[in-house]
Amino acid sequence: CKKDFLKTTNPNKITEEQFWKTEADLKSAVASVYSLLRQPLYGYWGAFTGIQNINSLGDDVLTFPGGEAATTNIALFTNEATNSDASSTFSSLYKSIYRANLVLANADKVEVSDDLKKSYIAETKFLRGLCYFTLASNFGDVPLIIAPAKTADDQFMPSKPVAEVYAQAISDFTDAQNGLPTTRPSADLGRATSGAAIAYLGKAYLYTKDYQKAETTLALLNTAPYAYDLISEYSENFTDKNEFNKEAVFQWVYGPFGDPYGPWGVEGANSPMYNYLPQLIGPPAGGGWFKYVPTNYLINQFMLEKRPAGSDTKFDKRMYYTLSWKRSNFGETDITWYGGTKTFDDLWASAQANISKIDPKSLLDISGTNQFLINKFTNGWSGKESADNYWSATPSTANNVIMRYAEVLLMHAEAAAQNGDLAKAIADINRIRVRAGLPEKTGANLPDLTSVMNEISHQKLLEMFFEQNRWQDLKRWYTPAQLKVHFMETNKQGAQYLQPRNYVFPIPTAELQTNNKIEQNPLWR
Amino acid sequence: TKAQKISLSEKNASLETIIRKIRSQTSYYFIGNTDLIRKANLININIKNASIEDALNQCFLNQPLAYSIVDKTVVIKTRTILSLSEIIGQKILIKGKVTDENGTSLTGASVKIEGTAIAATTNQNGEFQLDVPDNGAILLVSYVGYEVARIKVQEGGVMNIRLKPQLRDLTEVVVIGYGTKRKTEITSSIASVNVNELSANASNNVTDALQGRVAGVSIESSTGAPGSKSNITIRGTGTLGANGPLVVIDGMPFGSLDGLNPSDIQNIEVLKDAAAASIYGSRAAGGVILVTTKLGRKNTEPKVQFNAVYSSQSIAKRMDVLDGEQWTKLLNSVGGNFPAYNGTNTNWQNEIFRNAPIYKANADVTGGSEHFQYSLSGSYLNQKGTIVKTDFNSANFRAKSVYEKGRIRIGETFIYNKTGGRTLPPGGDQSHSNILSALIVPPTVPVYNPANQPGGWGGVNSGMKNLSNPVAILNSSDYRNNNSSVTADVFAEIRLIDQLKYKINGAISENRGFGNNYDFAYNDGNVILAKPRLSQSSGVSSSWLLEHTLSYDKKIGLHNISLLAGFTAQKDTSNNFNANGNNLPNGVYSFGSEKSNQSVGGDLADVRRKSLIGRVSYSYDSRYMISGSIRRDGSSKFGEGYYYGVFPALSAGWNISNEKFYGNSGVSAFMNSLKIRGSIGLLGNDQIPNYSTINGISNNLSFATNGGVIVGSIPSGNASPQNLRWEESKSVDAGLDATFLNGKMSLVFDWFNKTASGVLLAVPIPLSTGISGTPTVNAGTINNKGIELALDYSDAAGDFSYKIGWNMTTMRNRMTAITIGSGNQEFGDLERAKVGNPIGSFFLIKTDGIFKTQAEIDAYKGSSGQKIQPNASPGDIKFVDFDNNGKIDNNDQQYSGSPIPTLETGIAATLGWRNFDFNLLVQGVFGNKIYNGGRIWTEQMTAYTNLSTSVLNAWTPENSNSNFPRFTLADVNLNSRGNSDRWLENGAYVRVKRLELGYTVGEDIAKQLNVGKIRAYLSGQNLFTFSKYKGYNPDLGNDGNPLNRGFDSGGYPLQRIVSVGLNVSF
Repeated sequence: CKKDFLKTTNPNKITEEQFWKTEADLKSAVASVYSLLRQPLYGYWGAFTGIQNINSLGDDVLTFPGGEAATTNIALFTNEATNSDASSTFSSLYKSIYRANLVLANADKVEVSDDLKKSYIAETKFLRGLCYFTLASNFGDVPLIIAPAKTADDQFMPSKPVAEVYAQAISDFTDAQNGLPTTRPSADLGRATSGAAIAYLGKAYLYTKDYQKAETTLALLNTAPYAYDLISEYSENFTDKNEFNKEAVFQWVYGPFGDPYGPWGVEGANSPMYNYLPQLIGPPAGGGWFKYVPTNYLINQFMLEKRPAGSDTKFDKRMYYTLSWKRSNFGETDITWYGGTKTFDDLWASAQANISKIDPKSLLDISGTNQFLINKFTNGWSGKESADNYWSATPSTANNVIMRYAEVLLMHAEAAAQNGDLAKAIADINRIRVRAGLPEKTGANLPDLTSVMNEISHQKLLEMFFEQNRWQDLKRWYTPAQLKVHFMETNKQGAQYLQPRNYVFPIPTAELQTNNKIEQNPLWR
Repeated sequence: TKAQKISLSEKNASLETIIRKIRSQTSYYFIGNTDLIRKANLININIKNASIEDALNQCFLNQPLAYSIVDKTVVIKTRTILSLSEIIGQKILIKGKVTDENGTSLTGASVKIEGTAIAATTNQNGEFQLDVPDNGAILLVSYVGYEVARIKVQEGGVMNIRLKPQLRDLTEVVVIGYGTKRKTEITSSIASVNVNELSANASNNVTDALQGRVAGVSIESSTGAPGSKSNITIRGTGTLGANGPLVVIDGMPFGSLDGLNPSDIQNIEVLKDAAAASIYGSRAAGGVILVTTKLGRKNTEPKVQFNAVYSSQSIAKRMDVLDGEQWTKLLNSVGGNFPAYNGTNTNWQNEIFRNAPIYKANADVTGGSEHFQYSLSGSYLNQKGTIVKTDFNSANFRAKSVYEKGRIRIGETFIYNKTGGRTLPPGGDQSHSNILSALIVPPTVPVYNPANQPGGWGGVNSGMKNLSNPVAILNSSDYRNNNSSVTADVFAEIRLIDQLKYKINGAISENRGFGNNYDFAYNDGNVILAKPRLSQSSGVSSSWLLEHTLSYDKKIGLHNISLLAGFTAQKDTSNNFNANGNNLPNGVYSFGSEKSNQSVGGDLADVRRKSLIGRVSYSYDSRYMISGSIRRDGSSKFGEGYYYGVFPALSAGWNISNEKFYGNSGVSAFMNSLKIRGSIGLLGNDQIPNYSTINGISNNLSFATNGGVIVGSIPSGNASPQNLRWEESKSVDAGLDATFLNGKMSLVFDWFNKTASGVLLAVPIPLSTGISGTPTVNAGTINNKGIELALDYSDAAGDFSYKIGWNMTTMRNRMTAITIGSGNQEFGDLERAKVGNPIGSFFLIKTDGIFKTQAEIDAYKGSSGQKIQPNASPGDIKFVDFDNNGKIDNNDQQYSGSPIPTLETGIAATLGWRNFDFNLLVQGVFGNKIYNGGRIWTEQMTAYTNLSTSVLNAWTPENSNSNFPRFTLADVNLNSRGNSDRWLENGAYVRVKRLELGYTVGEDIAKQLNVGKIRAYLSGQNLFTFSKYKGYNPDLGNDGNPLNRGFDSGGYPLQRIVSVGLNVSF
């Protein structure tokens, strides 16, 4: 035998020494940071976990018991540290953070122009900031890791107070704002821009109640070089008809890539990049699993304000995309969904079995004309039968716009109102109202902070339904005790189980068992 | 062996002294009742360089005793007839025939008149004739492997002499690593399994045939899928990684028991302790199994054996689930809105299970001349699965020969194995296996529904989510694997000088596999696969091995020395490729026509090992034995500077019964032989993933923009530390071998204590590190200790012969330390590796009955007065607040049992009566728990699935004595939580593993049919299982991951098999 008989190298992979050389390496490393965040099923923006979980906690939907326990438990405030959905969110955020830290630590090794390098670093910081912002707003105190672990000991990090986590997000967004381009060429649409960084920076200031900075930061997006605006057709924010429009500040891009039947949650050569949300919320008659039904409270909020006489619709324009119902119940012409194959009666009949699982029944009044289903994010508009079933021939490719200019306006309105500038707030609100086909409000209609905030809350509930905002807003605007009362009043399921600890998810068991330096969030001890 | 010369000069010596002297000068053994020997008259003798016969003739001249020599054993018996000198002159002719226990004639058996040199050998038909002194003479009939028969001469007619197989052959040779050794001189723990005992003919695989047979060897069938493998654990789990033993077939260390036909096996040796196994160094931590395949005898005519078996398999048990009417009624009563029962009542279990046949045939030819021995065999197995659309077939061919002349010995073994079959596809919905689907798809769902196109499969109704039609999946998913393997070994051995031998051994192996998974377009209401898809995989793995060994055996007086030194090198390579494609046109079965929607993958591996081995064995007078071995192993799996590990072992034994004082003691009459032995040594384990210490780039972490997919890559960062080293297992063994009642009973006892340190753990690292995967680290200590006992008894009375073997193993497994991080880390969730507990222990929240009233719920309070289960209602489960913090959460998961049996036992019995033979094997395990993952789905009552009939007994205010929780879809009390011991069950079972009745056709009839032997048999496997376990089968084994052991996730149930078979030999 030769002396070096035992020496082998891995023939399957290039090794770390061969990486971090070219711009292609850097670009591909940054793509890996995005990868888990835009995963269509798992993580905070995954249809199966985060999107369901965060939306299920609001006062606007009810969840049917008997689905996946992890999802139901979160919806009912009975989740624990073992909850696999929350764990998926936690771990995919930290995986992206780890990859971002690798990029930031190694970018200097790459042979690339300073401008490009700066842009990649800013892009990476934006994503890391997004991760920390999401961790702070959902988990509170968490480990703050901003460099790749060098030794085994570096792998064990204690939690830092939530304020420090927000501070890191703010710092990352600030750096990103300065280094990112304001626009991207067509092929790069979907990558972060400075506008996205500003919107999230403003959101982080708002969440940390730094209203001054929130207002000034968000205001940047109202002026050049930014050209954001509301698009006229509300529904086009959620379908693939008019993607990358001027309202989309930041989005996860989905497309006909990969194998739609491929295993869930796998990062691989053929992993699907379709939008799976219709599968989870669409009614069975459209091929969906139908896991949510709108609350009576949401319906009432939509119906509170009818459009002026002579308008083309009776109610708020947004309601016609957000919900489906039997139009003739309210004197309008009935329509059909799924390529004309399903009437509302068909949809409702298919929904019966799940709706009957609501326990106790008193949570949802479906008597008379109180029958409504969610239409937003389903494929009911697609013109195809069973279009919500992702196993069908036509899974959805609609992007998920996670930051819309409408949200920027409403956040700016909130910050301005909190800073005492009610007129500015009302101006923002009116842009939202006008698109919804509602008359403008005046200072006389909304004379004080409370009335402005109520209108912001009301508009945001309707505008941002099922966009992972309601729960975050409720947590910011109500104490746990107040929220419990509100939930009881609005017939929110699981209201009786709401405790202060439910304002954050616990540190997942898998982290507690492996990280000997971390302690459970004090609320959960 | 030739008679050795004896010199004796004794006066008034006891026979015992004489025996000792003879033993010290020769390699002869003596068997005889000690009391009897003491009755011998004192002896005066003076001889030089005499033969043993001469010496013994003098010694026995005036004794009330007689002797006979069989092979190298001197048997001493009472003289019941006149001694030779007194009967010279009278002679009669006798004729006889010698057969084995089954009536097959034995060629070359030795027939001898006791106390004389009159002898004969049986001819081809087992017949002999002999002139004997008189009617009273005693015939001693012997044959290797059989007990010596002592029969009074009968005049007239043919004496039919049937020999019984020998229970303990004193001259028995045992295969050890890189050599052989006499069983009496073995100082380590080796279990030798004679495959004749295994009913090899009716077993479809070797591991199944071994289950329950060997103390210390735990075999669990992984699933009942046709062609499935079993997992073997020798002396407990000592690692969290691969724990299986190294299998060495005819010297080839890359064997697998799976590719072997049980009928081809001559003998199996299980090397259990470090002293026995450490010569195999780095791969021996899980023990070593040495398989010797069959070889013909010298100087025998070609013998052809043919065996054919037909078996019928069935799933013996059905789960009780609701029928259509019960289901509709129950579910509608709890809020379901399902159509009234319309008569559709699908019994999904009956739809997927079936009675399935096995056809098996094998044939072999063996024989040999003075210099050449050979064996050729072939076999074919075709097994249909007990689940529809599954099957397995296997064909084997084996050739083995040895040529021996003068100083040279050369030989080879060649094995070809080809398997194929259709495997059980995964369940369609990714959460349930097809077996589980059959339990939870509501009975009101029809199997077929022409409206659901393509395929026309019945599908679930609205409200039932994620439930697949298992019949649709089984029919629409055509998953096939085909494999072929060739292993070949060639050796040449040259005796250089004296007993110094050089041996070169070369072996190669090549495996080729091809997997073809095709999904037809189908629609089962859950999944609509509009166009077929195909996934293919192909792999080639090959190995070569080269070994040079020098061995030397020398006997100097009473000193016996054996030396062994060697060098071995091995290289294993593999190359795998896979491809997937979607949207194939219907009717197209290859990738050819569709170029989009395709993906490919593949990997290469190259593992090399080189080693030096050495062993010294010394024995004195067959009384004191000591043996030491060492192996230095280098493996490319580890990083530079950490290639090598050294594995030494030492063992010693004392044959107490060969001592003079023993022969003089009264014990010897009862306990004929007694040996104690002890050993200590190190074993290694290098079973970590290839390239673990090399940090590679992870690809395909992709992102999409308006322009399409940007392929992401990042150094994966999950590499193991560079300083990864061998897992070491220190093993101590103390044992005792004894025989009793003139060899009728034998006992083997072992105590062992095995501590694995630096256990290679795939350490889950904090989620917050963001690192994917689990790097392997030397991180723990695991201890296994226990005792093993094997007791065999055999005897015969008249036409009735029997043999009963009992073995048992007790096992205590503990994780004793975790040496990384804080040391408090736990691995796993429901099943954990935690210091102080067995590996894979269940950590679950304990349940404490059902709350019957609100008052009970209100009274269940924590230390600070808060309700522990505020969400509970009467009928909900009471959980134990283990950490006493006033609430039920995952911190209340406590040790609830272990999946590792604390006692395993087996009883094997063989009975023969005239032409009948009867085999029985009962096997049992005790002290383990099983987590019944399937029962969660049938009892959780939180979704519109079918349910177990036990939910009919759910708690209601009217049925308040029920211990089954109330029906609640919302389940806010989390009665259905997976981490409670509600799903944990007693895993103990006793199984009638095998029952076999055989009949051998009388030889006269066989002769008329012109065959040597015909035996027909009826055999049953897994006939009865006595167990409280509620799942299909308590023997669910493990997938090789100790943290998954005892976890029933709805696998392929084990089948009951009834077989009829026929053996014919020519």
